[in-house]
Amino acid sequence: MSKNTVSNRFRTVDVDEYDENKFVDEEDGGENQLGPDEAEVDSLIRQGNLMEALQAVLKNPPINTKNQNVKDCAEGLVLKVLSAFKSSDVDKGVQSLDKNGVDLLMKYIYKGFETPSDNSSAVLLQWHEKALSAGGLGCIVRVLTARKTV
Amino acid sequence: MLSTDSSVIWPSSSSSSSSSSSSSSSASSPLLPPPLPPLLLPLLLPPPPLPPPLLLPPPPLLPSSSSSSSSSSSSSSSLPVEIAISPNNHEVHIYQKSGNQWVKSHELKEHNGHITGIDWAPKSDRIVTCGADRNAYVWSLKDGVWKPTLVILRINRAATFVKWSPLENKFAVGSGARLISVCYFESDNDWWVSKHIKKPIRSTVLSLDWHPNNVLLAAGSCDFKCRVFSAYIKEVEEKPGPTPWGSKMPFGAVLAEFGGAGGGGWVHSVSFSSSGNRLAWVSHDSTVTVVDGTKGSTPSQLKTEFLPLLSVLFISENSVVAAGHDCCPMLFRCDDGGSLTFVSKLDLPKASITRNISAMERFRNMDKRATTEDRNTALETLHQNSITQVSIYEGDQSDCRKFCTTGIDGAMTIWDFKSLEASIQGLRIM
Repeated sequence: MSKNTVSNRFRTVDVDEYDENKFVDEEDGGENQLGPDEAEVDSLIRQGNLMEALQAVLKNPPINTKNQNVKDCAEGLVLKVLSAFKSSDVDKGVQSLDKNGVDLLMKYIYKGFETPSDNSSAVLLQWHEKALSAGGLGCIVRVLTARKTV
Repeated sequence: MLSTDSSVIWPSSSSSSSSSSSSSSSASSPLLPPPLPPLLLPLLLPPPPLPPPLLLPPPPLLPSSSSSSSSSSSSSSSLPVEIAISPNNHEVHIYQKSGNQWVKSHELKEHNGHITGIDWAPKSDRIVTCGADRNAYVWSLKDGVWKPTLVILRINRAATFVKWSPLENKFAVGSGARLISVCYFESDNDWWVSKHIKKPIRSTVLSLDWHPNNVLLAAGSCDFKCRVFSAYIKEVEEKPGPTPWGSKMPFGAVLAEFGGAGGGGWVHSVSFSSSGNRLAWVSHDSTVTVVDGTKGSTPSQLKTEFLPLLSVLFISENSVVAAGHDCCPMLFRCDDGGSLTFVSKLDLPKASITRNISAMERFRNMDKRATTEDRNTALETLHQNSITQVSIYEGDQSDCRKFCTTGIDGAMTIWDFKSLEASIQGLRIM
């Protein structure tokens, strides 16, 4: 066996980038997507109008943008809204969404699972259960197969 | 009710030899070749004559479709009912229906790799098979034996799918080489010639379907797109008339392209309706989409809550049956405006009977598995694993009366719409 099996540092060239048959996804101009409006969502949370806050935070999802900050911002905002809900209201919240809304919510939930913090996983799991009963397994499959996500 | 009307057929060694009185079938393990009962002599009989067109009524069963079993493919032809399947290996087995049993009549062994596609042309009685060995063979029945003819596809990856055109003068092969091989017979040199459709396919072609005009070809591929190509071969046919998909159709031209755009999944299966105006496809992101060529090119997509579907088929101009990883065929309706709605699952489980477990069984379960629960790991659906292919069994694409599904569990199930409409509340096939 060759001697250098431990470190990968000698791999300085990513040969996949030079493969002429490499599949490159279409560019979808998403530079202007700014994510949900932070001010609007914050004010709705303060007013206690959580249903409206949920609708507002699921608007303008930063799916196509390459700006990671915008995506992180949006994810934080969504988590804030989801945590503000009472456990008994989660079901009502999910019912108020249409099919695309449930798919988008599931995308945010899985994004939130990726970076757990404090109580976030527990809250997200509650929402996940309700979103699953509304969207079914197809909803989760769409999260897995989406190449551009929040 | 479903179990009596829709028969589940397991084309394994035990079913083919159970037609005779051989009692050794139950003892034979699936690994040993089954003993040949005397009923397999039909190998030597000449093929049945086709009825003359005007004097006799048409034969009752006209299945001319492909169906798959054990994640491979099969196809059937006219009287007597025959089916060609591949049990996920290098061979094709042909079964004939005699009475209520399926009897194996031929074995086609020529491929060196797994068979990935089979299609049977009912009118010219030829079978085309394609495999992972990058080859395709056209089989013709001569003196009761199926003789293969190699088709040079000129591909450097496995073939994935094959389909005869409606007039059976050409066939299309999808492959992992990111291209479609359209093959036609050149009588001067007495061989099959292939022409390639390459651009703009960027990944493996998973599924193909021909338009009724014999020229247009729909292809679903792993680059998340469903496209309509022209496969016009001037050597074998006249110039086609204009269609809602386009009027200029040189070979290899893309007349329509759908899907992709950051979302979507691999397009597992495509299907034209019998008029050719509608095109349906199922994708790995658990969606079914239909586009109506006559109503502009905005497809109507339905995001389902099921696991991804693997096969789709138009069974009338307005209804689509699809099946996949949920092991259950589903019915969808496409209304005149072109929008798609889910109607019903077609495999509704009967109310599950909670068995009373005997005390002996409880203790045995407790001993072996530290639990006293009932050990029922079978799925509620008829199929116990994903359905890979849905095909027409009786009727045609404008009015299908029975369809058949085959899957990775090795089972072939035949579904009858009459009994489905009777057993499922409010189900009407339009």
